[in-house]
Amino acid sequence: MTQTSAPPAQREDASPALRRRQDLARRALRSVGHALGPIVLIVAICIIAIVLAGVDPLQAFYAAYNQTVSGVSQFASVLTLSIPLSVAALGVSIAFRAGMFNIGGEGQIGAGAMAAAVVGASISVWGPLDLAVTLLAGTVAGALIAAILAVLRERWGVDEVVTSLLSNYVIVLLLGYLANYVFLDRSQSNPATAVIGPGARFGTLIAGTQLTWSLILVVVLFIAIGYVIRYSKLGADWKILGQSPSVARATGIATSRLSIAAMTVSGALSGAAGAIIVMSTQERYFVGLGVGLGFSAVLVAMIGNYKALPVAIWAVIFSLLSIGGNGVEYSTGMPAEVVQVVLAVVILFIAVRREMLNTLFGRFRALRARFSRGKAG
Amino acid sequence: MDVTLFVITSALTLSVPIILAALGGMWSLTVGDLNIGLEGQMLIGAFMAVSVSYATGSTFAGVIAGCVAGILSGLLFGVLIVTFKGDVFIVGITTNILFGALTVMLLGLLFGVKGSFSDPSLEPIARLPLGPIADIPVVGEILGAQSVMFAVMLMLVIASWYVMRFTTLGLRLRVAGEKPEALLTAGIRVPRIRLVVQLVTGLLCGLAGAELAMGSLTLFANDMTAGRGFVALAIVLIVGSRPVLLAVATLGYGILASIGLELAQTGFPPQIPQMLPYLAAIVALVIIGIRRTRHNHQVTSDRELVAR
Repeated sequence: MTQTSAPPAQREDASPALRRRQDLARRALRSVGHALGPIVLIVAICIIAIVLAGVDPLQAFYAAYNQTVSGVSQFASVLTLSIPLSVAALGVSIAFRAGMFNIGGEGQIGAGAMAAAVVGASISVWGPLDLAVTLLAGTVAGALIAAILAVLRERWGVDEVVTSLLSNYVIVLLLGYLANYVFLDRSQSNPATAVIGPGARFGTLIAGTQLTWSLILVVVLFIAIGYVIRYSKLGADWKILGQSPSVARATGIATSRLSIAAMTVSGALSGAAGAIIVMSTQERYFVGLGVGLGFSAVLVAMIGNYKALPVAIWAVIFSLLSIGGNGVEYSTGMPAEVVQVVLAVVILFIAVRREMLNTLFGRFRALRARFSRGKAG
Repeated sequence: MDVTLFVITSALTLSVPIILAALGGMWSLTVGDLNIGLEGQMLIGAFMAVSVSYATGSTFAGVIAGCVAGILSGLLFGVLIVTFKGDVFIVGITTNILFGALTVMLLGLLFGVKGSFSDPSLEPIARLPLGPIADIPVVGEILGAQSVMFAVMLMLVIASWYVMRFTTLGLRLRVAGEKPEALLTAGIRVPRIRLVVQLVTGLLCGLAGAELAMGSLTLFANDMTAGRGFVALAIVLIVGSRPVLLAVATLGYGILASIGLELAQTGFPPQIPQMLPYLAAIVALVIIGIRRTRHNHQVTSDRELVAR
């Protein structure tokens, strides 16, 4: 009797397997929405910006296409750019997840590049060893800077947001001094350090392109760190720490040590990103190497929601957009910085999405309520 | 003597925009919002000041445009963090990147150049009208090199000090930062106060940017703020809500920076003196942190102090 009177929807709910499947479908739909939403927004705002600037969108699109996905070598250059960007963005993600705002990426990437350039140019023992030591040198340089900032924060409460921002200027200027005076290689036309040895270079993956097998290394790195973030206790503790330091303290998490760890890993990855640039494409440190990459990495980390896979994907999208943007600039004169502008706007929108929609729709709903009440009365 | 004179003169010139931006940061921090977007807000102010000065031929119009751009950037920042409750750090970092890239983009679109823009038709902001003071030997020379903005800055510092110290408004703003519930029970709308303060912060940053671009140089260059907004922020964290001390501390920064300029002239590697002011800001932050930790017997970060 009760069974027949139950509406069909309820009977469906009663089946756990079906409910699970529906749940999964709903979740999949939502994540597709989360992934596609920003892309749609970016494309829309890009088109608006291009039209506003008086540039033909089709011509711009063709120029971007030509530079990025029209052939193997074009796409290889996109991937080449995305490798250091993704590593630095992964570093930013780990720090931000744990509530440590490491915005010293510019300096840490530069320091990593400089350390790798100096070590790579002076070591020549055995290929694989040279490579490992050079990469390690860059990683340690980045880690050291971030660790100092983290200890200052945890020991004396010195805000890492401000110190890491200021550290960029100190370190980049210091590196400029080192490149111009201490490690200057006079055989080159521009002020730069000596070229690194052949052992310290990553081998080419696709002949005729700059894409090296550092790509494989980075994929492995992303899987490992993605696992730590998602499934390990450390990853869970970092997340709690980032969401609520007081809860973390109350649950007995060693907050101080974990914060320092997150910041150090973040600096290590930024340093590694700098080292990869030197070991894959530039082969030396020169003033201006990697400038801007640190802030791009922050954008990528934010829009990738500090998760490994989305960050990797967004690093590739960002590289596509910036190389495409360079193509557009070359052919139409539309400055390539439009990419950063659009991305920043989208991130600001995402950052306030929920509250903004609530506020706007809340007002709309209130209006409608008043309107219908007025009609009723 | 000549060198000392030069150092003091350029220390004042360097300090004026930073003091203006720091005043903005101070008001923002007083109501409990650590605005790390000062840098970007200065940049958009500087850009608008130069481009409107160029378009209209009037420096005054340019300065006004810089202020308006600053207020609009403050409105954006305020709406994002107050009305829409965005994370103050995420919004701050992103607006810095936004304005950094936006100014480069507009420079390319409007003037067709990359890097920097200047034009012989641009007139710098007028010098201070000194009257009889100009005849006093050293003081006259030092002040004679300053723009009118120097006087504006002085008035704003004094006004900020007065408002902070002696008015109900100042008291309310401080309470809004420290104990917003108290204001709420008194029937005062804290969000509205925070939003208006962001407009003021934006205005001050716009002024700072205008002075930076049109004060003695008449030029806009990519990222010409070069961390001045972050230095201003550091100074705010170091001295807290004390406008006069803030101006004095910034002057210290200015002296360091201008000694650096002077050293770079003599063939000393320029990077080392250039990094001195930034390093000094970090060291000062650390010293303040150590002292506060000793005093409280527990670690309190600047951010926790703000977010109490």
